[in-house]
Amino acid sequence: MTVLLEVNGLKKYFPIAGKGPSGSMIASWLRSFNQNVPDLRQMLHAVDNVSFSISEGESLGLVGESGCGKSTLVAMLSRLADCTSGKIEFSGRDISAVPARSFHAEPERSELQIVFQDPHESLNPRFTAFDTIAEPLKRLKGLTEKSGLSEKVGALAEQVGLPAALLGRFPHQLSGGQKARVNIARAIAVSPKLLILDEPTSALDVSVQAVILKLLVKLKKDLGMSYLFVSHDLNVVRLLCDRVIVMYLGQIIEEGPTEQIFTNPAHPYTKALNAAVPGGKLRAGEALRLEGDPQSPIDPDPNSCRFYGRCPVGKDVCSRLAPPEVFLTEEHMAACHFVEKQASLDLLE
Amino acid sequence: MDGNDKLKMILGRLLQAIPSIIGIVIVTFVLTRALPGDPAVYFAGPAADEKSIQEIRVSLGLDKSWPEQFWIYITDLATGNLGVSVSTGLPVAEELTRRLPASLELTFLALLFSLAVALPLGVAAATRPNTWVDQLCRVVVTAGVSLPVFFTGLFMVYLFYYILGVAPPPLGRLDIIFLSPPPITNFYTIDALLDGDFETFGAALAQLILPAITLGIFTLAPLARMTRAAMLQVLSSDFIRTARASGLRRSTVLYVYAFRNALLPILTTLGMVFSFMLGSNVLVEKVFAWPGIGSFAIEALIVSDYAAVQGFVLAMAILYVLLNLTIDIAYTLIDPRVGLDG
Repeated sequence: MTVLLEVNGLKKYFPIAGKGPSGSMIASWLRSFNQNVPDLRQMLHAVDNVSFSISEGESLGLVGESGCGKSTLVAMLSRLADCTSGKIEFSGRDISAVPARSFHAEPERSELQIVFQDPHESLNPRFTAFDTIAEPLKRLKGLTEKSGLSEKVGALAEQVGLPAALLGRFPHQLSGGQKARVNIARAIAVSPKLLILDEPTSALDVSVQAVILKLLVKLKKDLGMSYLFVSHDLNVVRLLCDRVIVMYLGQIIEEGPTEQIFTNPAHPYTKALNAAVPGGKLRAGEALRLEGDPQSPIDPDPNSCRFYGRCPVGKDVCSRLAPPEVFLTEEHMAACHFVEKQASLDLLE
Repeated sequence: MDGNDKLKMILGRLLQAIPSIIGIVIVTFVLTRALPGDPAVYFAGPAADEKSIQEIRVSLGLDKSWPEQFWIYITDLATGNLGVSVSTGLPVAEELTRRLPASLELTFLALLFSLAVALPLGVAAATRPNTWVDQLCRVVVTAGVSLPVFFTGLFMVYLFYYILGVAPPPLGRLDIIFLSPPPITNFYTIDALLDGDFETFGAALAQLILPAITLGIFTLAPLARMTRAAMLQVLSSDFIRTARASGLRRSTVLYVYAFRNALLPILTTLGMVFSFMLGSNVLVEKVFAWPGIGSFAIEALIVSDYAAVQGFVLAMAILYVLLNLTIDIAYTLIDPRVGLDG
């Protein structure tokens, strides 16, 4: 399989405003002339040195708790936000070099599409469903009424199971599931190679979720897109994805084929996540509880494991040394000091 | 929504306005009667005796009972007769047709000026929060609301007329060396243009500019503030992100997507500002000796000039009703959702 998207050392830091003299307006003004003026502001490490790849036709799951940097990563990948450093290669081209504000003019804009988290808020309240789906076709494919715009929109609506009669409606006249279909139709309208789904079902009722997920499975089969599926619903990820990456405080802490992540998780955090899945195999009393709060994402210690303090395994070494990336198999990686020991323990059981 | 529906809605709104106008007619009648002071005493003068006061009272129709007076008032109204102003001796209808266009002309130009400044400023401030544009917007807005209009007016006159000498003397609608253009709309600038007299047009415009800017600086503040707030809110919406993912240029997102969504609150503010300006630009009218409707109303109120006050309030009320109607219609043009459920 050829690699479609390759992310290398991607970082996104946000300055914490108004802290210290170097964060002042004068300092940032000086910095605009001379890059050497020191920037001593505190930085929030939203995404910190993330590398992974997606092959053509593959669906990759991205899981992690709230605030771990999933949405920031998605914003950078979909080129709606600039990255602090790092590289995003899409079909062999470095698209991170294109500033987010001018990415709309790139051919990759139509090849890399996104279905946003909240189907209600992400639709323009002044646009009918037809307008919303037609917009990217007009802008990116240059379709007009003459060159079959209506037919194309009608075909898309059928593809996502949206009754054609609803195309003339405004968002407030549609149900949640129908809005989700409009959002998906908008995203697949320009036949993207990679579709990023940012928790596409989190704002929907459970019954509707199942229907939308089925639709996504069907679309993937029909259109052969790659998916990057962001979610904190592990069951959904397990159902839909070939591989999974687990993020914690801006870093990837475990990566591997879905079955391995779910049956043989190596990182203590992934184990805790697995244990928290409702309807899992664990019996009462066996549940793995995480105590305490996550570390602060503001200027974290580079020589410490970010999970330290919350980790049930955590030893002294974790606070002194950043954990190495340990490969259990060729594809299964976990960033932890104690992976091998745990793995052998698991084997003993 | 097709044109037929729209027409129906407009007619509906017009019908809704009828009860309010009837209410206004009654309320203005009662209120003017309830004003303290007896106009007959006032107009008779300090030297008048009981008999001459009574004569004036009879001639004004004030000796009759209220129901009778009201009947006379509405029958007069039906024939378009608004009565005669006791203080100026002219028919009120004539005063209004002369003064209302003067005020409207001033208000429209002021509004145009404040829109031309406030909208770009508000949009720029919203797209670049906490930069110099935003600070500038803040300063202008604060200055606009905190400087009283008579002060800005006097300052303008001092600077542009007295010091720089670029503005004409602040003495009404037209310099005395010009003849007023043939009255068609009673908007001097428009009448001059219709007459093809560009010199008079220029002179009328020159007289207009300073008072319009003075008034505009004051009304600019709420407009700029509302534009900034509405734009900030819309720009942070998720559907703006969707638009960018759909491959829209930043400028398109800004002006087509965001601005159109932000227009509703701006339009509401505009309507409020406009009605506020029409009635309360007395100070500007006084500073620039502008023969507008505000100063006319104030003078009439002070001397209990019933007919004039009634005429003024009625004219304003009808104007407000029309204004609200215009804004309602504008809503449906901007926002396809409005009017569907209304």
